[in-house]
Amino acid sequence: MRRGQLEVSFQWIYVLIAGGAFLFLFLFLIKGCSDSETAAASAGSLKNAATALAGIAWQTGARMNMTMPDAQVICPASSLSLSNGDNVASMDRLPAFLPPSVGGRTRIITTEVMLARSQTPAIPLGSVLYGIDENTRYLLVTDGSGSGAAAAMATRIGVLLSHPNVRVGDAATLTASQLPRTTKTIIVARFDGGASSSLPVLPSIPSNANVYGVVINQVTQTVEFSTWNGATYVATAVAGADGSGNGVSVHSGDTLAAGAIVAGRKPTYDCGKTALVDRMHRLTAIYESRASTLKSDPGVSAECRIKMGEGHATLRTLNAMTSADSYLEALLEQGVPGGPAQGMSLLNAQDGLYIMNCPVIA
Amino acid sequence: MEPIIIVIVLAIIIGLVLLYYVRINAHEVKTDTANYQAKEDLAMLGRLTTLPELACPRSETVKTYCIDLLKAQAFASMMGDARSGPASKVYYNPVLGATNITLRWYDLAKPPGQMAQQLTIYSNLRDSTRVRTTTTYFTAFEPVNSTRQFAMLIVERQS
Repeated sequence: MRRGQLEVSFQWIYVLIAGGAFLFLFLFLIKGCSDSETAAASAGSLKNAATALAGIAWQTGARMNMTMPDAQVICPASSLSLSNGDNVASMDRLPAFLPPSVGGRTRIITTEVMLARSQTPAIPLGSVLYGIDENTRYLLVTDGSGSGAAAAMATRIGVLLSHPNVRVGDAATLTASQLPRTTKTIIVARFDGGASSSLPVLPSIPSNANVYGVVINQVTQTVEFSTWNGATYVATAVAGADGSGNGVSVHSGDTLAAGAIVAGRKPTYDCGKTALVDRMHRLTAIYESRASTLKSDPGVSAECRIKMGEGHATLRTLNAMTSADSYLEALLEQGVPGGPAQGMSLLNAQDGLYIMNCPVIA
Repeated sequence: MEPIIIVIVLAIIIGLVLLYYVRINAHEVKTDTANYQAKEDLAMLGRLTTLPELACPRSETVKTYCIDLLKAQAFASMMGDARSGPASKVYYNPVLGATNITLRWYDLAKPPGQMAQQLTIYSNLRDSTRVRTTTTYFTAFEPVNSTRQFAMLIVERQS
C-alpha cells in the first residue's frame, strides 16, 4: 500500500472513531431524556399509587369487616389515616355503621380504629393510642419505675388496646410510672399475648387521678363488647378534662377515647374525631334522603313505610346535630334519658325492616 | 471530498439510529402510561364498588359491583346542591378525583324506548377535551321493589 493510501485509511479510522463518539454521545443524551420521561411517569405512578392507597382507606370491607366509613385527615403534628372497623360477626342485617347487639351484654360500638400510618412504630410516652397497626406491635413503654400509690392505681384501671391479636385471657401487665419532676402518672398496659391470666377487673377510678395528658374525673361507663374474632374486650371510657385544656373530653361508649386512655395530643384526637363525624354526617345524610323516599313511596307497603319512618326520624334527628360531640354521643350512647339511643333506634329499625322483608335503611 | 462524503454517510447512519431509538422509547413510554392509567382506573373502580354512599345494602345477595339507585340519586343531589355541592366536591375530590361518573341502567319492565335511564352521580371534570372513558358493568339495585337491573358505570377521567 502506498503512503497516500495509508494516510487515507487513517483518515477513515479517525472519522469512524469521531463518528462513533458522536453516536455514543447522542445515544447517551437520548437515553437520559427517556429515563427522565420514565422517571416522570414513575413519579406519576407513585402518586397514583398513593392515591390508590388513599382510596383503599376509603374502602370498607377491604381488609376486615369494616362498617364505618374511613376518613383521611391531616391532623396537627401528624398525618393519620383512620380506618374505622366495626368488629362484628354477622353484618347481613346491619346498617353500614352499626354493630349487632351482643346478647345480654351492654352494647357499644365496637369501633376498632386502625392507625393506618404512623410516623414511627414506637409510640412515645403520652401518645394518643388510636389503635395498633396490624403489621406493627405497638407497646406503650414505661421507664419501669413506679411509686406505691401509682402501682395501686394501676391495678384499678383496665385499659383497652384494640389490637387484633389480643385475646381474652391474654396477660395484661399494668404498670404505673410517675413522670420525673411531675405529679403525673403514666398508666400503661402491655399485652404479651398467649398467657392465661385474665384481664384485670375494673373498679371505679379515684377522682382527680391525674394521668399524663388526661385528667380522669370520673368513670362514665364500663362496657364490654365482642370483636369480629370472638374476643371480648373490656373498655373504660372516661370523661374529663383538666383545667389547662390538655385533657381529652369524651363521652361514654366512645371507644376512640377508650382506646386512648393514655392520651397525649388533644388536637390530634379532636381532629380525628371531627373528621370521622364529618364523614359519618355525609353518609347519614344520604341514608336520610333514601329513607325519606322509601317511607313515602306508594310501592312500599304501609307497614314498611311506618317502620322506615322511624328510621328516617332518627336519621333526621342525628343529621340535625351540628356539634361533633353531640352527633357522636347520639350515635354511640347506650341510652339517653327519655328514650333509646339513636344508635339503638337505628339498629332496631333496621332489624325490624329486615324481619318484615321491607327495604332496609342502609 | 472523501471526508465530506464519509461525514454525510455517518450523519445519515447516526440520524437513522437516533430515529429508531426515539421511536422505541416513545413506544415504551406510551405503554407505561397506558399501564399506569389502567391501574388508576382499577383503583377508582375499587373505590366505587365499596363506597358506602353508593353500595347496595349488605342484606342483598349481590354485594359487589352493585349500586343502590336511591343512594346514587341522593349522592347526586348532594353534589348538585347549590349550597353544599361545592364543599362536597372538595371533600370527595381526593377519592373520586377529576372525573365524571355516570350510571346508566336498563329497566326491562319499561317499554323498549324508555328502558335506558341515566344519572350523573358525580361531575368534576375540568377539561372535557382530554378525557379517558372506562365502562364497567354493574348491578343497579332498586330498593322499593327489591329489583336488580343491568347497569353500566361510565367513568370519564382527565387524560
